[in-house]
Amino acid sequence: MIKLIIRKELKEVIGSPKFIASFVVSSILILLTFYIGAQNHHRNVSRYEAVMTANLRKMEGLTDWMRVNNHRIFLPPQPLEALVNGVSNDIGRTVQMHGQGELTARSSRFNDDPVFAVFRFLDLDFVFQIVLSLFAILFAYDAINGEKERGTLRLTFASDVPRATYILGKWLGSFLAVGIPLLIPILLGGICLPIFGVVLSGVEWIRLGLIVLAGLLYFGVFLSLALLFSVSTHRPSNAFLGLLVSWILLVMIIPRTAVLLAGRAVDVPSIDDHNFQKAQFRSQLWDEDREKMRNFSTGDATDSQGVMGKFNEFMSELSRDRQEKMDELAARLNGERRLKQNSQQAVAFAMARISPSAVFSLAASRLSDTSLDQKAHFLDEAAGYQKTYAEFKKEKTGMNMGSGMVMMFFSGDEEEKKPIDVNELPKFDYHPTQLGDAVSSALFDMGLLVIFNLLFFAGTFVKFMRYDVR
Amino acid sequence: MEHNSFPNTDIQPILEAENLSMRYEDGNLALDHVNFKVGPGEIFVLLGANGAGKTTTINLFLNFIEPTDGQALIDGIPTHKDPLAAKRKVAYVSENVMLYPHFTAIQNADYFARIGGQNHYTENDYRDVLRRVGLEDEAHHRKLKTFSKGMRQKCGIAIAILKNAPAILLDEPTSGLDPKAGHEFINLLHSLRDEGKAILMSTHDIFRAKTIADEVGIMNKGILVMKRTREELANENLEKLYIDYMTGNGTLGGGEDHD
Amino acid sequence: MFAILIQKELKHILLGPKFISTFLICTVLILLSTFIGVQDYKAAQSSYDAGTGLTNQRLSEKTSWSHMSSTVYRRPDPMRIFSIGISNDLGRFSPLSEGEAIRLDHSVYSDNPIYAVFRFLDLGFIFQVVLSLFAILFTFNAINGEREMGTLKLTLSNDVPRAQYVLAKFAGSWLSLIVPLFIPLLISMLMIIAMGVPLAAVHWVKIGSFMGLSILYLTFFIATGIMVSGMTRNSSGSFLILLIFWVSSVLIVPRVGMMLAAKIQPAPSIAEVDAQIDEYSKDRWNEYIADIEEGFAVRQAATEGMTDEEAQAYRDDNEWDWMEQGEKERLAMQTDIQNYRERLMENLNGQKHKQEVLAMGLSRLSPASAYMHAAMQISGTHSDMKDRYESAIREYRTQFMNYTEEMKKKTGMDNINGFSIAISSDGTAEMSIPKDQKPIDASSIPQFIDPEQDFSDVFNRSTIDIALLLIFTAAVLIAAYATFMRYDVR
Repeated sequence: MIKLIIRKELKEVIGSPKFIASFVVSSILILLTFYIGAQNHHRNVSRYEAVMTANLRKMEGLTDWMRVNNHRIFLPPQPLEALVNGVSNDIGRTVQMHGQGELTARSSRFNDDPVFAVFRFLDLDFVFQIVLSLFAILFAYDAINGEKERGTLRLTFASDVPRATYILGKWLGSFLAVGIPLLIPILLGGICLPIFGVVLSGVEWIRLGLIVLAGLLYFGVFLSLALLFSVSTHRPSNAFLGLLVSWILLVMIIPRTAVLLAGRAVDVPSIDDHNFQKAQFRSQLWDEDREKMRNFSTGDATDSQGVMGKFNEFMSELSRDRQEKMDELAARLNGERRLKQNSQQAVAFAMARISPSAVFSLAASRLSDTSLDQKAHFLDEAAGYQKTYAEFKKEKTGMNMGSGMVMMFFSGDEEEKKPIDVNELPKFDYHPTQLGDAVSSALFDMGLLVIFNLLFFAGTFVKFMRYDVR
Repeated sequence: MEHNSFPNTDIQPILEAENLSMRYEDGNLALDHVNFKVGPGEIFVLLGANGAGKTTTINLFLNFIEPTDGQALIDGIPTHKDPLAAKRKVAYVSENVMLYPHFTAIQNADYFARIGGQNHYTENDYRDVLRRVGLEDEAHHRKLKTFSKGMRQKCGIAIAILKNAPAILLDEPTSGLDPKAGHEFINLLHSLRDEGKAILMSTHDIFRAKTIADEVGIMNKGILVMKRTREELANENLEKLYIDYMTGNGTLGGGEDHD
Repeated sequence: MFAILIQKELKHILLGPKFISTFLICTVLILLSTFIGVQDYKAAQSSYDAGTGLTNQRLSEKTSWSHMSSTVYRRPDPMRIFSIGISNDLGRFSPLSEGEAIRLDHSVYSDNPIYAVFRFLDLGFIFQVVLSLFAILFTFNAINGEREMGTLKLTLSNDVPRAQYVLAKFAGSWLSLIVPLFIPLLISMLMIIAMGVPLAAVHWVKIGSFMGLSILYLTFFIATGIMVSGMTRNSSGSFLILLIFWVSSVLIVPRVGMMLAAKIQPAPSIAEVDAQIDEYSKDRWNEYIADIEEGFAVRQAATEGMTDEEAQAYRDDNEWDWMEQGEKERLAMQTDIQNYRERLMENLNGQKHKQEVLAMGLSRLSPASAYMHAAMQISGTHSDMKDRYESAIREYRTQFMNYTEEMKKKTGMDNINGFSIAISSDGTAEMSIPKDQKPIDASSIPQFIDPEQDFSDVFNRSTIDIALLLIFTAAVLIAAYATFMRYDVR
């Protein structure tokens, strides 16, 4: 019986003109998304390589590692970023290495190229979140009350069809009829990725697969919601009106409002505030150090090399002390800030999760490693690298880094200095978050999507049991 | 067809079809040289099956489509030449009119009366007409979406009366009316005729056609195959004539069928 | 006749079941977006205040005019409440010093990426996405719906000219959809004032233009709805067509247009340009060092064979010249680097500009993006805000540097920030740290004034988009009229 209902549903949907129209539109969109994503990835990679090479080239020909003072590291572009943007275009992707102290990521893509920020990009997140949810509504809004209007519902229940079987068949049928055809362009797009020159690793394929799975779950949520409206109203036009309004609220309004309102409700100290405190503390430390500098003496060193050594040693010691104190303050402030940020994030996202569309978006960004954590993760990795870099510099120059002040003497009688070998510079290896971590943090949201599905379907089920089929 | 069945041939007809023809784009004739006249105080009923050309005839009178040959005249004005002037002289009741579902009966009546050029009515006038077509007082301020099909039909007739035009076109007005309402409708139509209106009505209901009409025209495949006046029908069996013409037993033109 | 038709249209929409619910939703959304916009503006304002306060304090603590540096902040403009544009994508401040490039960095979104996750809700968004959808919702069955109800035949069985009928449809829908919007819009204006957002006369002009533009945009969608409903027989068909049109013109074409432009007309990234500048700086710096070393060797050679006294005297004689020479070379190097940077940046901006023109041209196929472009131009939040600010800051830098240079000359070189080291000829070094020096009078430093958009400039930049919207609307209205003239009312 249920097979019969599903088969009828499949035939009805696939034969309809709106199926052909929306299938063509969504196929084009999905393929376009993959194509554009691949193009974006290529552009990102070539820019990344250019800045990497240039970063090394600017050091070539220098004769002293001491003179290397603007070494930068860059967040390498990840292929999935181009398919699910998340915040990857908003966060700074360049970090200047000082060898010690706090790091800031600068030059976000949207800051550098604001013209792209005007409309943002087309990615899978967008296609699923907005376009496919709309199609789900379009297909299911008249699933029940449309049959009633046409009189086929009475006809169906004139035979011995159990209502439970009917409604389940209806859901499965419409899900298969619309969901499966969607997989075709997605699969095609996936196959095309290597043709477009984007090579995904095994882990990335798994991530992409999970993103698509989350997308289907999300699609199911809107299908169930549409069925719920369809059994709750007697006329399809009313169901559609209600669904359209819900769609606007769920997809467009609630996520934005939740973050903007909840974000402001939790008071996170601004970066400017922190900078202010740090600056005050720094100038206070300077004042103290000035006293100490007054008492600087070169001791018994008389030759220039000795003076230079003494001075640099003295200064770097002072600067180390200062830096330690600064680091302490920064760590405290940043710790506080991160705590506040976490609670802000918790409140904002908890509210946003009223909307399945926010839930999907969060899950997809977790899976693609472009969630909010990307920034913190990048800075952590950069901080790890900074240690390596500081050690390297110390080994090369014999000095701690960071005072920003070194004394150098030039003398003509020194032998020709050899240029430094830039290849000795330690490489920055960025490790994306582990698949396990990404999946486990996305699992919550995917679970929520399942719950949304169950909730809306249960509502539909209960309503349909008491539905007036006349 | 020289025979003229009007009792008073000298009076100018209000509605007149002159070789009225309509050819579809694919070349088939929807209407083939139809001729008839309806004078004041006369009811002409077009009888025929679905697709016989009844509604096409009415659409031509309203200039919703243009004739490919011949013309439809209302009060002597060819409708396709001066449709607006012609339409000023005619009121129309369509089959299964929905009207505006969120307006009350009076609001609907008021709008269409004004559209028809009648700006002087008071609420009492509307109520009188609505009562005349058989709508209870309590329904006058109800929204149309709560009305049954029959009530909507009555409202449509009220709108036609309110226009106070010399001619009235009715397209299948009796479909969906129960016997009681059907009876009331016949009385209403007769009283309108007695006021001097020229009434053209299409139907596929032989029984009603017989009771209402001063003259009946049977249509088949776009051709007006036969016309009979009330007096002529007194001696003939309309049902038999109808079935004969539908099945092709009757001959075209119908000139020899009487006398 | 016309008045009757319009009256009916008004009543029909206002009494319909859709009206009250959509009106309430619009009201809530308009007020919500205004509230959010004001909150965001205030947050931006307070972070601006903190930033400028900090900068001023730092300046006032300086004791010397030499090597002055500062930070320039972008002042948030209340127009961002209406159309946020790139306000939160673009950096909030730029360093200001002799050596560093002018560059706005630390955008709100990069500092607080949580706000970037779902982005913003401004009035422009409500108009662009929500109200346009509602405009379709109210007009998709304007004509074919009447046909389905049978009222079209009934109406046209009277002596109603079709032209009047379709015009009344349009005018009635327009009045009943646009006029009610003035209520929430007025309330939101009051809200903005009550919440203490400072609005100057120029803002009112801009707000007026923004509202006019938004109404024009909705007018386009109303006309489109009527046109499509006059081209199709069934209202379900017209709705499907309109929905697909809405999805593509509001959501898809703008994005795809941008990206295709980037593909067709690529421009290097700032990071690449930076790298080029770094490389050039390095080469130029090496040249400079080589010059110094050479000079040193020449002097060394000149004193060859002299006695210590003679050498000392020679040095004393030439010390000043050498210093001047060195300073000149240093300045020459800096100017060279500066020029190189500016040339590259100019080049980059040229390429970016080309890309932008193309991108906008492509995206303008959609009236929704024409609307967004014009709204951002009017609000001054379009992508050219970056150039506008950076060039203004560049100009300010010259002013700032000239002023500090002048003050340096006036007050002399004695006051040095930080400390100085004296190395005596026997090789011992002594450090002197200035203390208890009087701080400079920082209040006299010229202040940065945020670049005002020229009205003619705003006009020039938004004309195309406004004209396009007008053309789109007019074309659609004409098409609606022409098709309805031949509409089969049966």
